[in-house]
Amino acid sequence: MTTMTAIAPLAITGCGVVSPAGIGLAALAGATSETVHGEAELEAIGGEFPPMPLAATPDLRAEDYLGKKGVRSLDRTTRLALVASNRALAGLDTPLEDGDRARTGVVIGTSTGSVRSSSEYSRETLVREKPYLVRANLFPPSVMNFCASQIAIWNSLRGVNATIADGRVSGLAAVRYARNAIVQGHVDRALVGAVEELCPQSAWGWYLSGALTPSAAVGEGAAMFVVETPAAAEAAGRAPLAELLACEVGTLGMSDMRRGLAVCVERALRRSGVSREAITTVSFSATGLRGLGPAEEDGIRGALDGLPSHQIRTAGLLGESFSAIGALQIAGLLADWRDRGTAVGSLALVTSVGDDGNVGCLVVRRPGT
Amino acid sequence: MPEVASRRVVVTGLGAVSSLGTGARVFADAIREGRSGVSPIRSFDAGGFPYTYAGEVHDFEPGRVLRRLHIDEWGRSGLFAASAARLALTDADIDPEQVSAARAGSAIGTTTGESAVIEALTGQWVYKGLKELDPALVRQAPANRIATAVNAELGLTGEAHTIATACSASNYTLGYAYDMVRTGEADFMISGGADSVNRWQHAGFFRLGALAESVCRPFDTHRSGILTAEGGVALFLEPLEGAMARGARIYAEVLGYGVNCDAKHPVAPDPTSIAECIRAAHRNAGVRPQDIDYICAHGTGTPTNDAIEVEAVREVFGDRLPPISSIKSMIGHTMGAASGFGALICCMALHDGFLPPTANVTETDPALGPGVDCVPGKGRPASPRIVENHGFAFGGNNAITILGSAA
Amino acid sequence: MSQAATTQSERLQQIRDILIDVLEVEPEELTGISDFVNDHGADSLLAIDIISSIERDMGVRIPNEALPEMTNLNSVLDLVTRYGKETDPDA
Repeated sequence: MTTMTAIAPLAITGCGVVSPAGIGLAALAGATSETVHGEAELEAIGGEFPPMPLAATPDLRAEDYLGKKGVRSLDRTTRLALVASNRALAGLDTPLEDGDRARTGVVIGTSTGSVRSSSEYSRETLVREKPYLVRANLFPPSVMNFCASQIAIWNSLRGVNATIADGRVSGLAAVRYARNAIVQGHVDRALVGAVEELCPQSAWGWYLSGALTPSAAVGEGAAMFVVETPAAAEAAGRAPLAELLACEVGTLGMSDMRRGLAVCVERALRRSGVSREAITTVSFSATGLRGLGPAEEDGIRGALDGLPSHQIRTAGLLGESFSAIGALQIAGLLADWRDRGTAVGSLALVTSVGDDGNVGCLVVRRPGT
Repeated sequence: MPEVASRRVVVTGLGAVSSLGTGARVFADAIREGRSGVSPIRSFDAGGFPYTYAGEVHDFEPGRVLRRLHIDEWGRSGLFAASAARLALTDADIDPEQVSAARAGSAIGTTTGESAVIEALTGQWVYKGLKELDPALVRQAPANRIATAVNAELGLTGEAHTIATACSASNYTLGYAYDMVRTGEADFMISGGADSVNRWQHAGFFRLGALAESVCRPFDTHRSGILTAEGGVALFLEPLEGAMARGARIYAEVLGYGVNCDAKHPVAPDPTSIAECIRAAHRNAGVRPQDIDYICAHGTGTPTNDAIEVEAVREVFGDRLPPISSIKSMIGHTMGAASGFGALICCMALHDGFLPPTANVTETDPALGPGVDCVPGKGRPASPRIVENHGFAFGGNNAITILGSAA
Repeated sequence: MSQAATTQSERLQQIRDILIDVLEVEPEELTGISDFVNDHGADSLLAIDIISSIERDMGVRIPNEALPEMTNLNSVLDLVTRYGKETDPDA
């Protein structure tokens, strides 16, 4: 067996988030169950939705951020992620120079790319007079890496360009993947996050699966973060919003979700060099997806010998947004820290449990502590 | 940054589910003979398409390979991946209990995930309505199930990443798996890829004018495009030290990799960016251009790809081009699995001592310039020591791996 | 087939509608000689979409080989006129 060494922290120096709470961290910080809803946006999204609660990002006017040209053929997955990316980069204390962009990667978590794009493309082959009378311009969006490559194209980011489709743990898996790419020197920094779009195809899937409790909404959103080494951030004059310590993911929960998550949390703490008593905050991944909530709490309880006093439930508030959840949880933590004094403590867990047996745990430290 | 631990990483197990048969040995022997796995499309009704050939896996019987998965719960791509992984583990001749008890995980590449499942659901949507989607099929649709199928089949508890970097995805997984084993994050990793032939991709490539009628002939003067294809491929990675201690057969050593993005166009490749990716791979692997004995090309067989690829190679290698061939001439373009099949054949080439061929070449395109040896026809006996495996994708996602002889 | 009765001006309007849609341009920006690539920022994918939209909406099949010729509205009109004669409406 390998002896795992402690890992070095990475800094988040930029953050962009779009969610059913609205655009930006402030909207997320102020979100309540009254302010999160999606009915107004459904017409813009289009299509016939099932009779169930839905949570959509309001006022997603990608043109405001990207200009008019070339936006129309982008699917909602890509628009969500591009707006979040745009805001993450625009909010940096010091902007990226062209040379920096050549050494900047993109790592994004996704479920199945845009399932709407691929299934609508597939549909065209069945309903057209000839199956090949499809739009060439809509073919690339039917491929799962379209969103990541568009983020690169719109922002001239020429480093590693990875699309991580790990289901509910996608957001944390993207952080883990990006850490390796940065630490191993493949890129100097990365735009890291995850995305999920609300569409009729997936909403009907959730509705018919019976996997959600009746009051649980299907949601969406995207959160993107600029992640780099603390040394690089300091040299560039960018103050960290948070420090990412260890990020562990794995299919530890296939046979026993509770035990699996507990092992994952313990491992993440050990590799972060952080004691379990030091953890004061946890951001849960549980939503109305049946069975996962109690398992997640039990798992954390098992590892920490109790639940931390400060609990953030961004994921549950925003609805089941599958692959976007982990990234939205991190954004929820940043939003919470922004608005609170240091009394809540400086060390948090972002945990993740998936219906496929995947679990994840990221340890996050508030900077300057 | 603290100094990161570094171990040498080797490939000791190979698995393939392909149009040329099941098992790495069967696959490699067929490639070496220059045989074709292309046939008329059966997986969907190709009526209405002017071109109706693909590289489909017709004789796939997952029940003969898999030991744990319930086959009817998983999509075609997941079954390809899990079967290839099981074959690779068996081929590695290691105690499966030792692997599942260790820190072991998987990274599996794909272009369109469970596309056969999504097409079946699309059919239900079109002919019956979204209300009539089959929930059992819905559960099979998310792409994450491709890598989790591998972990579930092998009983692994480490990470399970489905990396959807389209047609360079398997090289992405090989690079990542290599880093995980090299740095001690994992004791064992499965790298690979899986994709299923589907109607929408066939339509899309036809629409782009990138589809060949029935024969894929990379580097040939009269090359006309790709053939869509499918399959699953897996490589079992472990530290050199452990492999030697247990007396394992070592196919090859993973020396390094490079990844980058053109960041220019959704489908048009950029030779300068590809050349930079080759250089990055060489730097990462600690090799020079003159060390490379063979290039397993992306070699899709479209007029544009092959010209751009040779241009990029020329930019790095100057006038001394290594032999460069494309196995897509025989199995078509297996998308997310493509660079995984490339990596597998590179391992076999290093281990057995041969260069894989490009089939269907009658005249190497003079427009590609002098010195292009695409190993036409059948495999050629040789003793390559260091080889380079190319994978490029839509969106300008380039990934290149470097493998070396174990001897 | 209705193509037979289509007048040149109706055909021109149909092509204009397709181009305005595919190229995402305002009607007044599109002239007979405004260049798809230099003036409207088109790429190879959009050029293919012009061909497929014409086949779908007008029943005229222009081969991909004609792509290099297709640089502006006037050239598309020429191609539609040329290949419109060759396209068998029952094919």
